[in-house]
Amino acid sequence: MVTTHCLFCSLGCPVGLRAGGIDYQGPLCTRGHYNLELVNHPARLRAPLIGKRKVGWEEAFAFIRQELKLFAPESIGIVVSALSSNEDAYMAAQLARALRISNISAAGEESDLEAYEGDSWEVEGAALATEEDVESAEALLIVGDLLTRAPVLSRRVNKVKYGKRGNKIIVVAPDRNRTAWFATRHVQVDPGTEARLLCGDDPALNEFNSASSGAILFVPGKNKARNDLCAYFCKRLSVLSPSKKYAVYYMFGNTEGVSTVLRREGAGIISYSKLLDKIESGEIKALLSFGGDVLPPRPGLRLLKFSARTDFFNGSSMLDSENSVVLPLASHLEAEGSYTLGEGRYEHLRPVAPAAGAKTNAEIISLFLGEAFSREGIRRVIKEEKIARTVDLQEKIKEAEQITPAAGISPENITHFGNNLLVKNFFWYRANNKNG
Amino acid sequence: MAKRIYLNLDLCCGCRSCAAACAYGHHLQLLLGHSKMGREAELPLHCLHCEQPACAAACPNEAMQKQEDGLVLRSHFKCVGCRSCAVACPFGVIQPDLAKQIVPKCDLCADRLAAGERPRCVQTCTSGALTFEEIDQQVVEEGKNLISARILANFIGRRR
Repeated sequence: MVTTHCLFCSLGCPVGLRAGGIDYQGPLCTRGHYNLELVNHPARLRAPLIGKRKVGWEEAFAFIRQELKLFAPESIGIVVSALSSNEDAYMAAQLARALRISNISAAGEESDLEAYEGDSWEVEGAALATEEDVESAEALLIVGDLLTRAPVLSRRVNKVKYGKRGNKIIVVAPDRNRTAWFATRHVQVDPGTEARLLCGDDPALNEFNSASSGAILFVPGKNKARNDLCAYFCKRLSVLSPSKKYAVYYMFGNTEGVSTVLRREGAGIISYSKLLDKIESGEIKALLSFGGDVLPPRPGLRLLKFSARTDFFNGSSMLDSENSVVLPLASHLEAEGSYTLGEGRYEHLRPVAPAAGAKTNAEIISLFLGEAFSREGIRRVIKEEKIARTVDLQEKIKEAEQITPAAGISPENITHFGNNLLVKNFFWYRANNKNG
Repeated sequence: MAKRIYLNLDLCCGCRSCAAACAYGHHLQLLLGHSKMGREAELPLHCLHCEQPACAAACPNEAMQKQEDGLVLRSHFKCVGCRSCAVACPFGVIQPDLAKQIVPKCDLCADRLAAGERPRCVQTCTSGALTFEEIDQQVVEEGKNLISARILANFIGRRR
């Protein structure tokens, strides 16, 4: 039996896998159970599709290359799913730079990415709540419907509720939801006004501040909850008294990691909602998505609604979808990568199953890179970039000149984000065809 | 001493993970039902593995049988899907919906018990509401007394 992690929310529960299927290491919610099923799903995609027609990998990439010539770089957008690893996000950022695409964004739950914006505003002295902090807290301030998103947390909430006399669980939510049922105090606010309560002077907040230790748990909401402001004020609250800590729980496992990497590496990173607006207005006509619609289509995702508007939509996916070109994608159980989970955790996952017919995100992106550079010439692109992007690119070129030929990205070489080996592998095609 | 599944409704958050795990372990045949208690909570319907099972008495084909170790098990081969047990069960834990032409029935994850592990629903419970504990004989006796007292009271009330 192998142990890995479920990545279908940012909690990242440990899961045991056997040859037959899931084994139960610990608590796992329904979302985790049924999404992990996609790995062995009978409808799983094993070969690339061009308009519902099965083709080979070479033909698919020839088609993509031919189609992409029709679009100017300004009218192409790239989205990286929040389920992909930090390395994938890094490579996608490199691809965007090579193709001179200025619209690149993390994709996922729109409310989550809004909340990430607020979470990234710097506040001095804010501390992340770890598992122990939540369990040993005397008061919990929960903003949003926590237990619907991450039912596994109910064990910790119960520990606080029944652990010690006088412990408080304060829930700020507009409706009487599942989390509110657990609360010792439910503050019912108008929908979308959570942020106003968090920065104001409410008796519930005084009750929370009077506790000797506490944790603020924020779940981004869908109903115009001013997610960015909420995340910011949760952070501010944790600064006001040093014993209080905060955590944000996202819908997709690696929302934080992908957004951070893209922000650090991507030249033209724009926010997800802005990218969707651009698709809506017709500014972006072609869309490349990496890490694809790994989750089954949900009506809430604006991206799926707008995919019909784009002239060309290439996506990598585990199941059949409505895209122009679909590339079969390996799940996170079949690829290696590092993930930045909630509560400040950092997991490095190794593949637990072979990806039959499918390719990992890194492999797909490196295929893209090969196409792009064989046409334009990698060295010229990098040298032009060098003028703008100073020292570290020069170092990358030096490293690239030293590398030995590799037959692709092998799992041993992909280590955590920022490792030089990844950069070396990023240039693997150059070693393979020296004339290119 | 035999072990059974206990439920603490104060802890249950109604996430239905137990039902998902059950479906997973039994080839997507949902053996564990759910019922709603008002709008507030959800109640997983576990088989109690009664001492005198009404489902076994009602079964025309002897598919339901009480084993020596106390488990009430349903035979895959003998069950014809007549739903007599679902009608007979006083706790409503056997669902009338057929799966693969037979009645779904909790087997307390006999394969896992044999390996010395807890049942799937208990293992996956997110809130710690489900526990797998030894039967408390004192509680059983008290329960018997309560039931007999209730029957007696009902009986007396009717006679009046």
